[in-house]
Parts: sequence; structure tokens; C-alpha cells
Amino acid sequence: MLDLLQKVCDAYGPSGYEARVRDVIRAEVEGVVDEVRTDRLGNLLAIRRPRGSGGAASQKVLWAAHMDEIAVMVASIDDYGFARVAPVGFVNPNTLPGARVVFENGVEGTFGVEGAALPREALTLPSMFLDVGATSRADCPLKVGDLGVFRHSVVRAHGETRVLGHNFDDRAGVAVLIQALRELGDSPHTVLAAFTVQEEFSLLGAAAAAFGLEPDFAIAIDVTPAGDTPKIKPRDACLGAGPAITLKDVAVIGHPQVKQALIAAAERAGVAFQLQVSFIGTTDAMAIQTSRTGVPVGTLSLPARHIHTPTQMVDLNDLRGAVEVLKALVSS
Amino acid sequence: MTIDLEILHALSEAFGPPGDESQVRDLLRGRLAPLTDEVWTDVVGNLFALKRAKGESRGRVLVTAHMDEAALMVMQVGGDGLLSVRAAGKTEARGLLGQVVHLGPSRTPGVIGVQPVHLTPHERRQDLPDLGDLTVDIGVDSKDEAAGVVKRGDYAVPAAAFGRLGPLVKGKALDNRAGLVVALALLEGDYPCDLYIAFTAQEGVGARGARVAAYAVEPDLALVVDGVGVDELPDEDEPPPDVRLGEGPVLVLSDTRTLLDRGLSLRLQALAEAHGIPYQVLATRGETSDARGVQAAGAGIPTALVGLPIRYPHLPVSLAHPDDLEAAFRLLQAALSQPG
Repeated sequence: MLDLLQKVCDAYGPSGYEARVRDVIRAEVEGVVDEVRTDRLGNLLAIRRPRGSGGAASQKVLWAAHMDEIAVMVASIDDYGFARVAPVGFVNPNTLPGARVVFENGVEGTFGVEGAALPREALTLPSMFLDVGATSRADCPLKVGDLGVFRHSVVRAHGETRVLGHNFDDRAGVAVLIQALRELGDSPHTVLAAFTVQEEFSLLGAAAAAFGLEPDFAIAIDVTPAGDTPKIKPRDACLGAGPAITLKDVAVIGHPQVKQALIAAAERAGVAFQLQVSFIGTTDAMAIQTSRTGVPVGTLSLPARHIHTPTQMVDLNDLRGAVEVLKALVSS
Repeated sequence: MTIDLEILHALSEAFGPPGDESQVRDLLRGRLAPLTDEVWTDVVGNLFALKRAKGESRGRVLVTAHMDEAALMVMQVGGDGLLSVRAAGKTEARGLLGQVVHLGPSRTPGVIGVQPVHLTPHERRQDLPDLGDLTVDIGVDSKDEAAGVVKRGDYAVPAAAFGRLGPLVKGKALDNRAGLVVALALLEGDYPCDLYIAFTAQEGVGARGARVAAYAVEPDLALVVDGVGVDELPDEDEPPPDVRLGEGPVLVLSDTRTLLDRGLSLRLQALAEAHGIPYQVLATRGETSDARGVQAAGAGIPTALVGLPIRYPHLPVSLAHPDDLEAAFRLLQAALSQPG
């Protein structure tokens, strides 16, 4: 699973510009499912039709994980070759000094703060500049509109299963989805896997995918802030304690039947899971829930520490657990 | 020049707050018949024009431009005959002080009153009132007198006259009446695609018209034509402006709610280069447009935003450069001639 995670994490894919990561995912799911296509907004849709004999009444199940990652967009370049940027998705300015930013054309840079060689204050984006080493506007290899993503490397932290990386939100979910599709056995249901665009920006991709696919119910697979670091309350969604079934976030109350189905699937699969009520953020489930005449949704969350910073941490056991839950969910 | 400033004159002075765009719609509808195959309206108030492809169609392209303008709505008629108002659309209080507005179906003139400076305590002379604190004075002294003239819910729009200002044009609502003129000019041409133009209602209150228009047309791609505010006022603490008046249409890549389609935006840039059409690129801005509604309609529509630079947008008098309108027209014409 670590190899797969590294592969999808290293693919460039800021919101709205997901072509490269889409190609990487497509290569992983082609041949595994019955149909792979890209819709007009760039969502990658992988469809697995029912296999095996009979069983329960067939349903169309949407699994959504977003391909995009947070980024910065070049807004202007000054006479000295420094760039000013706009956030794409939630970017915390205080995490930027020392962060490594990589552009689609391979150019790399980092951030500085106006008038401060060693900044000590809380930072705001307008007071910061992106430095790629250019000496003048003409020398700068960036153009207005270019998007930079945060990059380090995806490596093991302490222990066998803790991993550090730059964009587990939501490449961890993408890896889970790919792995679940690969391992999927017979199922009476149609699995509609959507690798969505622009979740970090507007949930636009999930809204379009849900409209196009018309699922009977849907699960969003995304990271959730882990509640097991110092002084965080409540202590839920702990790293390594299994995937979290998120019952409510700031925008979505999961459908009771989907919640029960997820709990039953986890129990059937014999994997540890956690129940969570989240006070931060939301997921593709928000947009899917109001598609057409409404879609019952649930959220399967992967606990992650330090999300929306350039270096995040997940536990591979949670990813493995999520794969098992998804498989069990559609097995009968 | 293809851009007709006489039509712009009439459209700029027309009364068209969000939700009551009928005067603008009627002006446009009168021009559409000889140029189009079909003209219709919908329940939201959008006006549609269809021009079928010449020869075999290579797809369906939607061009949208919003008809509505930043306006006020009368909330209450006070005992003293003064009217309190709220914003209808993207109106801001700063530009309204001391301005004349036209109110309601009768287009009654009113003045947005300001306390004379010599009657204002020193410490309050720098205060900028909130929109909710403004009152409109229609020259009556009581609620009863006002009752025959205006009523709660009536709209008010600025009374500014259209005119020339050096090489520029001045007038109210150039965002987005300028866009209407550009879209209208497109109908003069023939294209290898089915061209749907939606003159949309209610952009200023959340792109409501655009969303249902795009849903109804289901185009293969959409081009939104809208005003883009430029700020060229001097400020030594700020970097120079990203976009300027007179330097061509603005390809907007994102705003607070929308990331425009990358491939389409790049294709428009390449077309502009190939045809020698000036253009500007704006990475992001703090204001939304019809693109937000169009892009998210149905199963999603690849959408680009072709912005017209407007100085002082949403204020009673804004400025635009006719060369920008002409360049935007040429760029859109090039895009429609090679629709995919």
C-alpha cells in the first residue's frame, strides 16, 4: 500500500489542474474495472458492474475521493522576480516559510516574508512572496496563473505503519479507493468510483459527478483531523485506531441507513473502526447529498495529523481498514 | 469597429436591477430577431438567442452575459417620507453619497442625502456610512405623500447619463451592459457551431439566471462575458495593478468560488496570440460571476471567463475602453470559429 500511496502522492494535481494525477490513477484502475472515463469537468470515473450470482437487490454505490490538493496560484511577479500568490484551497500562511513549492514545469521555490529575514510574527499571505531564485521579472520562469503544490517526500515515520507525506488530503483516500477496486470480489452492486476535481476549492467536481452518475447512495472517502495530539479535544479519530465513520461534520449529517451500513460492513470485515463527530471542514459528501433529488451519504474518514500543512501523517493500518470496510459494504 | 456604442448608450441607461431586467431584455429582444433562428425567455427572466451552425454543427457553445446591475431596494418608507434601502446586487455605499437615483416603475428621481459637513461633529466627519444607514429623499414630507409615488420593494438604480470621456465611455452599469453589446455583436457572424447566447438575469444575487440557463442549454462549453473591475488608482504601498483598462480582455483563471477550465483558458490565450488580439491574465479576484452558476450546472460544463476591464464597477459611474470591447469580441469570434 505504501508504494501505491507514494505513486499517487507524487503526482501533480492542484485544484482545477488535475490532469497528471488523473493519468496516474487511470493507469492504476484500467483493467481493474469495467469502464473508465473522464467527465467534462475532469472527474475520473471508474465503474465496476455487478459480478457473481444474485444476492441482494442491486444498487448503484458512489465512492468519492478527491484527486486535487491545496496549492498556491501565481497572481503577479515583481521587478525583482519574486511572485505574489493566491491560495487555492485552505493554505495556512504560517506553514509556508520553509515549505518547498513545486510547479508543473518543474520549477521549485519557497516563501519569504516582507521585511523579515527571520519572521517571528503570525503571518498573512499578502506580506509574503514566493522565491524561485529569479533575478528579475524577465528571468522568472513563472507566469500568472501557474500553480505550485507542496512537496517533500512520502516516507515512513517511526514504526512500520506511520507515514509522512505532503498531500494525504486526499491522496490517502485515492489510494484506498484504488486498492478497494483492485481487491473487490463478487458484488451484486454497481460500484461507481469517482476521483473528483476541485474538492479543496468548491466541491464542484463531486457535484457534477453525482449528477452524472445518479447513485442510490454515496460514501466520501477523505482525511479527517486526528484528535490524538496534545491538548486536542475531543480525543477521537485517533491515528492507527481504524477508519472513522464520520456521523456529522460542519455541513453534512450522514444518512442513518448509510451509517448503519458502514458500521455493519466494518463489523462484518472484522476491522477496528471509530465513530466521529467532526467540528472542522466537510467533504465531497456535502455536494453529493444535494444532487438531483438528493442522495443518502456517509463519510468514511482517514485520521490524519497536520492536515493542510506541507507535511502530514497517516497510519497505513487505517487505510487498510478503510479498504476492508468498502469491500464489505458492497459484498452482499 | 464592430461594437455599437449607440446600443451601449441605450443599455447603460436602461433600468435593470436583479429580478426586474425587463427594460434591458426588451431593448435586446428588439435587436435579436433579424440575427437569430430562435429567441425565447424563461421563468427566471433570462433571454435566449439561438443561431444555428452554418453547415454541419461541431457542437453547442453557450455565451452568457448578465443583464442586471447593482441596485438598491426600498425597505421602508419613514414617517418623514424618507426611504431606507438595502443592496440588491453588488451595490456599495461608498459611491452613493449625494447621488441621484431613479426609483420604481415611475422612475421617480430621489437623492441619497448626506449630512452637511459643517453640521457634522468633527469626530464623525470621516465616517463612512453603512448602506443600511442611507436614506433616499424624494422631496416629500410624509409617509402619505410618499405612498402615491414609491412603495416598499421598489428598486432604485443610479441616474448617471452615458457619455464619452476622452477615448473612454462613461455610464452606469457598464458591468455588464458592455458584455451584452459584445455578445450581441457575435450574432452578426456565422460559425461552425450552434451558438446559444443567454442574456442572464440575477447575476448580482448569486448567478441564479446563469445556472438555470446553462442547465437548459446543456452546452459542450461555455464562455462567460462579464465586467472585471480594475483598480488603477495610485497607491505606493501596493504593487502595480494586475490588469488595466485598454489592454484587452481579461482571462480570469479563478475567483473566490470558481476555478475556470484550464484547457479552455489556455486555448483562448493561444487564439489571442495567433490573431494578434491583446489580452490580459488575472489569476484570481474577490468577486464571483455567472461562471460559478454555469460551471456547476447539471453534470458540469467546461467554462471560461472573458472579462471586460471596467474602472469603478458597481458605482454610479463606471468607465470602459471601447478597444477592450472590440478585442473581446474578436477573441470570442475566433473561439466560436474554432469551437473544439
